[in-house]
Amino acid sequence: MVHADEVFGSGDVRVRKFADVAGAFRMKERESMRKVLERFEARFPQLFVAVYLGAFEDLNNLRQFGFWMLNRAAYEDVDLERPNSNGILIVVDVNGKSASITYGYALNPYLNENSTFAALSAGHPMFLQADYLSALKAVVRKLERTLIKGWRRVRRDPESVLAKSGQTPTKVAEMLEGIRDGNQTAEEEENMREVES
Amino acid sequence: MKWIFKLALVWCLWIIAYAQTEKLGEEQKKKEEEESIQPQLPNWNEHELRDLESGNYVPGSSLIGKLAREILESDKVEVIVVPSETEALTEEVKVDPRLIPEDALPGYLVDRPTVYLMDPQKLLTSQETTDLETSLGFHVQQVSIPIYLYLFDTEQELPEGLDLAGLVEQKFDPEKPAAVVFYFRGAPDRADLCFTRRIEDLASEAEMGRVKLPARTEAGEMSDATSQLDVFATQLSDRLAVLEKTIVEKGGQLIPDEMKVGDSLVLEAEQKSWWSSLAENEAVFWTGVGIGVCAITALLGSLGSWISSIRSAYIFPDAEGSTLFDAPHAAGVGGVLSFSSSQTPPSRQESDVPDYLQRM
Repeated sequence: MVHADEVFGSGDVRVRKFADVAGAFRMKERESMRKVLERFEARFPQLFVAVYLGAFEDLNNLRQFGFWMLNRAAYEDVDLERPNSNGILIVVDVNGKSASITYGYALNPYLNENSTFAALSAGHPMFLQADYLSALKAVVRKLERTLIKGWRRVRRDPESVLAKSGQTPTKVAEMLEGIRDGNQTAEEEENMREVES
Repeated sequence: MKWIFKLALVWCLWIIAYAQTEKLGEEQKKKEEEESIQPQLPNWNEHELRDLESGNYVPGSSLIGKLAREILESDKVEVIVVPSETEALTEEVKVDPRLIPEDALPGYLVDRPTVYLMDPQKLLTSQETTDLETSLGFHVQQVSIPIYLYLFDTEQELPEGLDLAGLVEQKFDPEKPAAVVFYFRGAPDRADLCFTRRIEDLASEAEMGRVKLPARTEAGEMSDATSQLDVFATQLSDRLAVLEKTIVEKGGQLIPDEMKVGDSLVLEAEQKSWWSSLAENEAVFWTGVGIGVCAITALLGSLGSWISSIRSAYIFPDAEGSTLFDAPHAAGVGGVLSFSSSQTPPSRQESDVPDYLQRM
């Protein structure tokens, strides 16, 4: 991360989840792309997909840029319930003719290098023709299918699936117990007020 | 998705199996009923069995009588002369060709018939029946005067209470045009034709006569009964078309405004035959029902599955883990794809990654 910060900067970057910095999309296409991203969020209420289209002059490592971007970006139009660790970032270098996918920690159990490469490959024919909208639609569709498969796997056996990527299920009951330790019921609170007055 | 198709398949097989089982069960039941009606077979007693084995007993000899037994046991060959009274009895049993079987009579007395061929005695083969019905149905599509053909055998004579004019008056709607024919198979010269009152009001006697006679004559020239009937129906149809044209030219209205006789009848007849043929074959019917139900179920299942897949939300379990490379949110090593050349498809890039795309 230190190395990436040295290359791209150590400060956070405010950006929208769909950023067409390269200007590769027409107005109508942008709207269509936003709908694709919204649809993804509706299907996966904890996750989001961000797309960054750049025209880089001398970018040596696209993967490194994606890694830095997802860690440093503050997405303006993504709600707080979806932290960057639940995000998937697709970076397209319009000049260098390449695309990459980076994903947050929460997706480690469901995505890997091969599955994200397969997702990008689904859009390869359209990428070749510079039809970025169709290409990104195909990539997101493929990602959705992969995530649904992962969701089925984790539903059957959450502990072992999460353990493979070094994660453990959060014990929600214990967390809630901890939070509610100091809570009082409404009746007790009222009694306290009367005593104080 | 797969489980819906599996369920539909199982359901389909179950319905087919059920239909077959029902059919087999009914056949078994019928067989049992038949067996219960039949008397039990007699058993040999020991005495008769011994006589049979020794040749002293001829089975059935008690029925044919002592005289016949003697003739059988003797070596003489005698000609048995049937008494004239017995011969007369056998002649009496013969069916009178002039009579119409009583059980067939109600078939001729149907009110407002919905088919154009009335053959309750089944004088025609199924193929001949189909051909004639098709021909009469086609006639109705072309001409507004339908032909109702009542078929009798060559020598049959009409019983009391069954006459053509009376039948037309009682069984047909006088306001609808119709040509009713009594045709005697193999004897076209005996054919008789009568019109409903609507035609009688619109056409003269001479015009109506010109329909019947040529049809009879032309049919009489044919040698076999089938050709005769075919020619008769064709000629009748042609002549009725001429009659219709004559009536229309005179300004007569054959069909009342509120009804379209021919079309509705043809449709009704076609629907009936299609449905009855389907309903008669139980296996086909139940299989069809099963396939139909399965198809609808599969369709609805697919639709439901598709809608639910679109509308469903996928929630992943909350998890916690350690961070890598001091990265707060992500260290996911995702894929990188180059699309600079169509000569480098994704399959080649999996193993052949350019330098600048190398993993960190």
